[in-house]
Amino acid sequence: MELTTAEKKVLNGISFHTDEIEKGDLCPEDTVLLNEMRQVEHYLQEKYPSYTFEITGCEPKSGTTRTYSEWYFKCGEIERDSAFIAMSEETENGYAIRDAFFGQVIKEPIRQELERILQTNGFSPINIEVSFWDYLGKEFDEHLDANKVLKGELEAGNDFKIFLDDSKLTEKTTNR
Amino acid sequence: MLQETDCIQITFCYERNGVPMNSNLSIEEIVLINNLLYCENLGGPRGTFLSISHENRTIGDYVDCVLHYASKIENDKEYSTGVTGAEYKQIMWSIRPNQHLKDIIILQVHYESECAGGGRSALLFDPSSNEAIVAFKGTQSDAEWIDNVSGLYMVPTEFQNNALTWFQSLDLDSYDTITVTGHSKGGNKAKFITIMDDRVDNCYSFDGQGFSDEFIRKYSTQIIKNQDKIFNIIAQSDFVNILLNDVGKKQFYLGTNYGRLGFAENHCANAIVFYDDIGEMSVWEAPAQDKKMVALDKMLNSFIRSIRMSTKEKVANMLGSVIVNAYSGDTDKLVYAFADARNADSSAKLIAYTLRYKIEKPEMVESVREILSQNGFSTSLLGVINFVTNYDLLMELIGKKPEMVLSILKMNHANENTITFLKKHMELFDLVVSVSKKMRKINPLRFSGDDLKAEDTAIIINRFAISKRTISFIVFFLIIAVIICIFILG
Repeated sequence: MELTTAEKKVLNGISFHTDEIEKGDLCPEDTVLLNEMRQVEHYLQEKYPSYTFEITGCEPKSGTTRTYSEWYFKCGEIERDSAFIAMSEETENGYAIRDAFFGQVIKEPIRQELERILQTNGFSPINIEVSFWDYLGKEFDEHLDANKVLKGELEAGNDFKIFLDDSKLTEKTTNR
Repeated sequence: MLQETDCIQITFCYERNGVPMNSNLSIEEIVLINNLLYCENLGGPRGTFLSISHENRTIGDYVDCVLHYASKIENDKEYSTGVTGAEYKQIMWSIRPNQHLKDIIILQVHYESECAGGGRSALLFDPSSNEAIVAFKGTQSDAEWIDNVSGLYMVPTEFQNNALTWFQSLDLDSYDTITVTGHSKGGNKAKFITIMDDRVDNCYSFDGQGFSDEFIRKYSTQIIKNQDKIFNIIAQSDFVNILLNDVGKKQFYLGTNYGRLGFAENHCANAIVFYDDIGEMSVWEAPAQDKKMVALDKMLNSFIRSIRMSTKEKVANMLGSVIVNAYSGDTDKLVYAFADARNADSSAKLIAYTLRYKIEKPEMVESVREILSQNGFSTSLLGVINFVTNYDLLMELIGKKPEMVLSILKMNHANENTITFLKKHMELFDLVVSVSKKMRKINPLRFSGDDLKAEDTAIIINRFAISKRTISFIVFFLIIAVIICIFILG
């Protein structure tokens, strides 16, 4: 079996069978992992065609209480120290895959919109952090409507932190 | 059960060379932080502590959030290996009255982006003391053992290097105190960073494994310089910390064992946590390490030293594979891991070593028997071990003919369980022959089982340490230079 250098690296990080991986002579368990990794990679490329991805690691479900494996990946177009994460769960027909990368695609338009709303209302935010609790699957692509997510029309587990200069707030407005 | 004579309640001040470690965190708080690192999906995705969405929130915010959704946490479900929802709720309730811990801010959550085995870590900030706390999670998946055992043949490992790279990318200049911590593999990363980066003030490694002889020799001067900053928190019967050589001060703590995972539960991060009637948590110092673990530690050390560097990777992979299968509590899987063609030669080395070791130190067998039975394994394995030990020459001669061996066993009135066990695992016979051949070539007392200390590998002159390895290089090059000079002048 032909494996790329990146695939060998990832498999070596989650399997004890170093020699067999180097030769491409994979045991059944490693073949399953390779297949799963390739499906995750394919899913990401298909869902976000404007971006390039490299899977860099995995926390397999084996030995944990999780029902899914977590795949760590980098995006060629985005410089970030931390990896992005996709989850893959075995189903009858293959794998159900979900990822957190959509947040990267829509966070900037959401941040800008929040800033606009705040400034319109007389608040000048020091910082706005946009993140999401949910992992979304292939039902959405890279054209996910940021506005619909912001308004809650599409459920993504919105988590927005707005940092304001409290010296400019009156006592009344600081009450939450 | 706690017995007053077995333990003394801990104090909050720890010293290194007479100087208190300057972290503002108590041991209980360190243990609680390490438990939080493992929280995943408690009552929903917001219950994952190491999530980027929790950045710039406090530990108190996280605990309140989890307890808000407490009704969604299933009491009997395991949310991380060996730890149920009910146990996690206990942990959350015990944090709630601790304002100091609740005020700690989660500044940054990091998902490893370079290293294949993944891994998560966090930068926390204690505003009351301007202290940065860098915490590393162990992975708990089977893959964790790939890195745990790679420390046998790689100096340093990829995981250790990546953890250091991330640590050094953090802007830590403005903090008064820098503390690193982690459980299991995370504990090893914390120790590695403390050894390699002089800025670290305190390191609390919780059940983290140690370092190879090669590592101790290579970094002896760095270890001597920084080892006093390292404090090892170790569950009395934990089995991960015994891997390789310890660095730093060690303190053992009494462990709880709820029995679900048997012996494996000794490695859970909440294994040393006790609660009183009002839910307040405490940890209790133990007078010493579990004797079983002391015996295993020494045997493993001397076994690893008996392996040539060129074959250490194979032996490490076998060890990891065996440990992962041992975790499962399934005797058949464990036997398969030993007999698997990829591992067979290394397994034979380990078993042969253990058998010869057993002859010299018979108490080992009792330790292994207790560990196997606590983990739900068939102790018939030990019957086979006894038989091979007593009849190694015979096994070498006729081991390839299983039926003959079984007949001889029956004639010798061997234990029926042992015979049934062997019949079920005919794949063991090839392994047994290989073990018998190796047994006579092994001298188990040739290699010390004690941990190698950095001081043993370095020469200290006026507080300056020079590793013996460096001195060897210098002497070697001096000899070469002298030879060249003689050649040129001659």
